[in-house]
Amino acid sequence: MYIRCLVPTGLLIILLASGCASIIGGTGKQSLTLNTEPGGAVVYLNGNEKGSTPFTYSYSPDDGKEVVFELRQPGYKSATVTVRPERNNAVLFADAMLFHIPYLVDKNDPRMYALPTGDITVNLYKETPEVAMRQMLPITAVTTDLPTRADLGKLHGKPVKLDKESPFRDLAQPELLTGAVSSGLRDTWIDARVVRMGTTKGDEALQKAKMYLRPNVKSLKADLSGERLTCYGPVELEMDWKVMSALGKDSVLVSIPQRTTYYANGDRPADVVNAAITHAARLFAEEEGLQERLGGHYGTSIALSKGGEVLLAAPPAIVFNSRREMIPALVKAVVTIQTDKGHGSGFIVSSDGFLITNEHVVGNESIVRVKFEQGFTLDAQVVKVNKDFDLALVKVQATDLPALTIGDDSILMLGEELFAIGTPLDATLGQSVSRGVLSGRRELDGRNYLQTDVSINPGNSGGPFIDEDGKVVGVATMKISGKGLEGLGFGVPISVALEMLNIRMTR
Amino acid sequence: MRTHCFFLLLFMWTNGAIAQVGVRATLFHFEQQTGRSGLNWSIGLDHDPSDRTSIGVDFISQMNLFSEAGDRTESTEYDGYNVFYGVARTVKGLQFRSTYFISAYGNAGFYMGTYVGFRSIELTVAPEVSSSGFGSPTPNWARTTTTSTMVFPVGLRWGLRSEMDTWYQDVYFATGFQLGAGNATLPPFLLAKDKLKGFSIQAGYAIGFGG
Repeated sequence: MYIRCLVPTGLLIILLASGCASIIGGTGKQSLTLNTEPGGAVVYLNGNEKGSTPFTYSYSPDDGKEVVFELRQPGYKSATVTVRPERNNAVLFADAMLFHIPYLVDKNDPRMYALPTGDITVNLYKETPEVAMRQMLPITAVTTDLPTRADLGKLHGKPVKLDKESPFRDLAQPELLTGAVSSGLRDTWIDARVVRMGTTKGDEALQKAKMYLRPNVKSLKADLSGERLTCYGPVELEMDWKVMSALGKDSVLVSIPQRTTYYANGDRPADVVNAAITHAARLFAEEEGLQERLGGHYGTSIALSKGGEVLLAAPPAIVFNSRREMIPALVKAVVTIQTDKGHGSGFIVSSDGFLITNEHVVGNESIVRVKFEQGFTLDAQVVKVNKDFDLALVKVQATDLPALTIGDDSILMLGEELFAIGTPLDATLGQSVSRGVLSGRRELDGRNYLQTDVSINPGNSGGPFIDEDGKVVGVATMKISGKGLEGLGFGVPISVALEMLNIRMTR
Repeated sequence: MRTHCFFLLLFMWTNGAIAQVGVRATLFHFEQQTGRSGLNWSIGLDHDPSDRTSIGVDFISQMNLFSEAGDRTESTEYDGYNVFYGVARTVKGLQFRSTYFISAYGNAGFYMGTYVGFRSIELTVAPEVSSSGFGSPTPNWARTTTTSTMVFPVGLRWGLRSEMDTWYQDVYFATGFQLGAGNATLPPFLLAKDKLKGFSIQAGYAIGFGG
């Protein structure tokens, strides 16, 4: 009887003892060193300042189930690191088998808990300075020079090769990495969107941006340790950031070779490549002088798209005796522009036949038909277009045409009366007049617009906005339409139109 | 009462920050308190103090709440008498479960664990006797008797549980000892299958709701 009791009791005591960390001691790492890149960041633990990096931390169960470090460095964005200490599985098993009694005994013993790593390095990123305008830089693709089966370093002590079974398999399909680049450039001065070349939207974005980004991964070397689903350690990445011109194919504007080290802190192995590229993209945005260089290229591209200077003789003003006679006199200088794809409006700015309209009215045509108010139609040549500002200059072979006087859009006051003349909807509705006021001055995608509640419709595009004095102050360009929306028309100010078409009026 | 307090305190102490808690009902809890199979039901609580472990406590009762001795379906011979008897069983008890999940993630999958608890068991035995001898007196042991006893089941459990996310299920099997089973004073004529067992098995299916 005694033996029957003694054996289970003895076993129970042995098991209890083996489950208690206070007897057997800890089995994992109880402390870690926290580093930052750059170093010297102030470490906060649960909101309390604890020191600066490199910082050695020893776990205490009082710090909670999750230890959240906040790292602050002047001029850099603060970063947080979460560490989850865990009891090791053998001890947890002993806990469970012994009704959790060892758990109660050792709940507050730090030796019961193991930290996932002994060394953590955190990359700190510079604060993004306030910028008036972000530089648009579409990403078309990420390329790689890495050959199949390239050596990508070590993961959990085993070599990693580049293939479709590898945890770093995203590198085998670099087009999947564009999102990582985009993530890295988010919240920086670069407005990076992933676009596909050859699509309407993609080409529009390239046209607007004048350039695009094509990063190239040259090499990657990881040295990662950790558990099966998490890893810690450095990932060295060599990249070449190429900014290409959208105007000349394969023309490299900027090429920046870069070597970065990303430190994985509990990342899933499959996420490491994306995280390393996101990190590299972020550092690319922090590259000294890059913003100025890209801005310079953009300015040059904008200047190029203006084309050569066009000198126009200022036309004699259209004569009218009273306000009542003003609009009937001015409609003579407004025309309907027809192409095979549809029609729009335009207006004459010189007596010798130069007209301004929208780029989207003439499209890719070099010759368009111009129908005058008097009823006759002439062929006209598209002299130049500026796609960035949706403007076109057209020339008809004629003389002594009535032309609109160029006004000063800068002195227009909010609420001031504006007229729109154009050919809405159908070519038979030529020289239709509508009236509204200047609702505001807006900047959309870095371009200035006059906002008005003048009724404009498809076909009005390219027609003039005319002020109370009968002078042209803008080019009707677009409206925002939709259910419940009314009176949201936009036009390019005439001063911008002349500048972007590089037109100089002479006396 | 002290046992109740122990389980409650254990539950409260381990109620850490990461824990999930669920309420479960065991629809079929098979447990051999005697040699016969015994169907029971239970309600209880589950609590996961870590991502590999879980604890729980159940209140267990026999399936038939109004158990009576009923028909005398068993027959045996004892002391020269033919004995016909029926047994009614009532059980109330608490059981504490402690579990380790073999699979790594999310407190789900196959597990192994232990259980310990107590059962307050009441066995009512209603006998009838007959003898070949004319006019034999009815012996003292041949009266209807009710025996109350306390046993302490302890053993190992194996099972499969789903993650305690909204609703969950648990299928389990357990085997262990009923400590104290040998101390019960039962009518001497009982067949072995109606006596309390020292070694018992459990099996069941529970559903719960937690988060």
